[in-house]
Amino acid sequence: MTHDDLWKAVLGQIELSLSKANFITWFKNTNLLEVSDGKALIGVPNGFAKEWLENKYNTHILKALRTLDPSIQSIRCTISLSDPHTNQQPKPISRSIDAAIPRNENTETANSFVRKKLIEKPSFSSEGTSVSLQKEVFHESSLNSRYTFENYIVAENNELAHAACHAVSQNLGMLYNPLFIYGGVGLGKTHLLQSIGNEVMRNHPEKRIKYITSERFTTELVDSIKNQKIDIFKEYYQQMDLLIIDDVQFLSGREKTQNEFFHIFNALYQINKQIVISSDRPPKAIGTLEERLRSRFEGGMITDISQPSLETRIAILSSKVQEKGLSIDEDALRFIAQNINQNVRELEGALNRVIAYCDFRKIPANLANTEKILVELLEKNRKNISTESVFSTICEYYSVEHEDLIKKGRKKEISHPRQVLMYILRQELSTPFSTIGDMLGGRDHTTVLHAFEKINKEKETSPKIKEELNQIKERLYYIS
Amino acid sequence: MKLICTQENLTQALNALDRVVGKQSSLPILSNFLFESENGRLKISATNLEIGIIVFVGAKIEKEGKFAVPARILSQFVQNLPQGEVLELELKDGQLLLKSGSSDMKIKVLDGKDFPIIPTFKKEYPVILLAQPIKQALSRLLFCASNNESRIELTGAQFLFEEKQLSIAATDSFRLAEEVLKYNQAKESILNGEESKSLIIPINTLQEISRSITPEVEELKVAIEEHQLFFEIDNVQIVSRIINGRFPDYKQIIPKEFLLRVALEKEALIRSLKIASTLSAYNTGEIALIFNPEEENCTVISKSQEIGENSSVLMGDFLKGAGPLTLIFNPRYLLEGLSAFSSKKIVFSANTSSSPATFEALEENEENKAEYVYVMMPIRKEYA
Repeated sequence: MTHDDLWKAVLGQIELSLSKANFITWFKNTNLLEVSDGKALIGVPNGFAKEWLENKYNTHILKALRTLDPSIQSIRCTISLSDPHTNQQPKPISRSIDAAIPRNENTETANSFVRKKLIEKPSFSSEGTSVSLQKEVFHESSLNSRYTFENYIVAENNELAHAACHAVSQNLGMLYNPLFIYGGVGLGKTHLLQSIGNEVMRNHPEKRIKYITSERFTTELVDSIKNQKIDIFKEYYQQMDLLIIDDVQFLSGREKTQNEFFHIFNALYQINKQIVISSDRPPKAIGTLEERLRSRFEGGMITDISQPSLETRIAILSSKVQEKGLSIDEDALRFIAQNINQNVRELEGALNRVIAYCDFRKIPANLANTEKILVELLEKNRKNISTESVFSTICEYYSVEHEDLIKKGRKKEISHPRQVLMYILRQELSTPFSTIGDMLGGRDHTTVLHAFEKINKEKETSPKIKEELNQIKERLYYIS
Repeated sequence: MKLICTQENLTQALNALDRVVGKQSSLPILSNFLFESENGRLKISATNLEIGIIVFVGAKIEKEGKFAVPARILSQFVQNLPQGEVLELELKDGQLLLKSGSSDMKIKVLDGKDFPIIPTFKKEYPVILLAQPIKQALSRLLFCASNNESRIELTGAQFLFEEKQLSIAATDSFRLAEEVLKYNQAKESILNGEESKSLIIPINTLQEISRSITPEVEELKVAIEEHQLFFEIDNVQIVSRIINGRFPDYKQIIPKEFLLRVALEKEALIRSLKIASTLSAYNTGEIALIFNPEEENCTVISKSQEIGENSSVLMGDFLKGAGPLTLIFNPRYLLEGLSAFSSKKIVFSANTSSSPATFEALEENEENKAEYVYVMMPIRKEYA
């Protein structure tokens, strides 16, 4: 048993005998540093915890420790700091050191321009740790240089979105403003968004770019209100040439944030500054979004990213393999692509898992091994959903009552959800037709069969139905 | 527990403790003061688990004991008693009975043994600093520190102990202030054979220290043990964490030589900056200072497209200066910096429109030169 495991076990025991507040106050960030000669040394974050643990909880801790390791006779605490900030380089000041050394005064390069702005303007982002220029720019824009147009795989599912983003990056504020991109989890919205930022940064380093998630935006807003710096906050955002807001659906229900965002949006929009927004659903489908914001979102260009086809998924995997210089069988790639069809991020995850496992075991990454490795992952995915969760998801999605689905009613509002429900139960859980019929108030299995075939056909012909099914599946698998 | 104490003594002690009383509701005991008797003295403690303060109060202890009493209620009661009253405190059946000449009160109290133990330093303090110069320095430095938790090292002030001097500095990366104190006594250094030692002390802690240094306090005792800082100021003990991080190497950015040095009337400069900032506040928060050595003056200009523009001319004493020079600043940083000076005249120094500029006090006699400097970065930009 390692020290970490031992300490976790001890904490597990202690947690039971203390109130939650007490437990968190005193045992957060503690760890077991060493055990020698029957003495246990415990690392604690501050002097208060040290005194309290040594004087008040010592018997508790000792008892718990001794049930696991009877050789321990006594405990002692020491203050151990594991501060992540120690490795940080000094930032803005070091930049002003650069700026301070009087060299070539006249060469006002783009470089120093950016740097200067960073020093003087209040920066609301907290990321960015290094000194190089590239990274300095992140400091403000929070962009990740890993995401570029070059390594984005374009296929029929994202063609339009990609083209729109690329066009926007070449003509800031002139073509599609605002640009609104929506699509499911892990389909590459963030990648596209960041690509715009990175492209603009490369071509026009003097432009001020800000990439921010709506979540972070809200937090900053709240902070600025708290510190009474709301003016600085507004001013800061209104100076951007390109503002990228990711996951805007999280603004739903936050009225004050929406209000501030609305004003910033207007200020930027009026002077033709580019705004790019992403969300997991179209503006219409974002609940409790103020009408005026919604209409503004819809005023520019709206484009979606749908799920990638099998060919695209294979292409994505191959490019990852190439990019990282990995070796894996074609068949194995195909297997991964076939079995993981929802989400590009998961696709990458599965690939990484296979590669890491094979590397670790020193076995070739072929089809047989891949199947073995992923079997567990795929199982897990399936297990996540149950008949109940399908029912509740459908009810929630279509806003219908559980009972209505079971009743005889044949109104379209009810019958369509019922048919989708049957389809999902069959398709995703492989429930027998007759069982599905029984669950839905004793319907005949041919009714179920008819529904299944109807939806299956409509799925191919109607994009609306296809989108519905995808969204339902997404809710089923990801938001549990 | 039973004791008798003057209202004045108790008010003073509670004031020193008030600010560190914990506000989080997760551990309700933290919103209490801990009263206990120790060696015939009354000891009152408060903590928010970041800072702990212990105050010893002159009182007559009639019966030993220990209890925790809700801080807000007790403070309110004691503060509003008439001055000069004598207070009797008695613990009876889990309630605290307070009796003064004019008013009585009963408060439910908590068991003192649930109150966090505040770490104390039990040995002799190795470092003793002169308290008043520290207090003065802190009053001119602390406003420069950052409150942005993402750069934790800037939320404190750096105490840099060197062989002959102690430099204290604070910055939020837009401006910086430093004060250098020369040691007068042997025990003022913390060095143990090392060349220099840097400590970053949280601003909150320094504010408490500054508050506890009353005009009659002479010494500030300091000790470090196990990543904790201990201070003793007469009858007050403070314990705090040290900020773990690297303070920027700011000494490099303070220029040693200047091309422009001009002495200005402080009050006149403050007035023109305040006028100028009324316009700039609506705009970008920028004003321009134009120095003209040939005409021996300095012009403060601010412009706002929506509102209008303003310019004021100040006469200056140019100690050094080549050609005209324009610098652009955020007026807030200038005004805050100026408010730290007590002298009538200040010296503004700069090299170029894009390198750090400083304020220093102008002392009549060079010997007495104050070791305080306020550094700010101009905004580099064409001012149209």
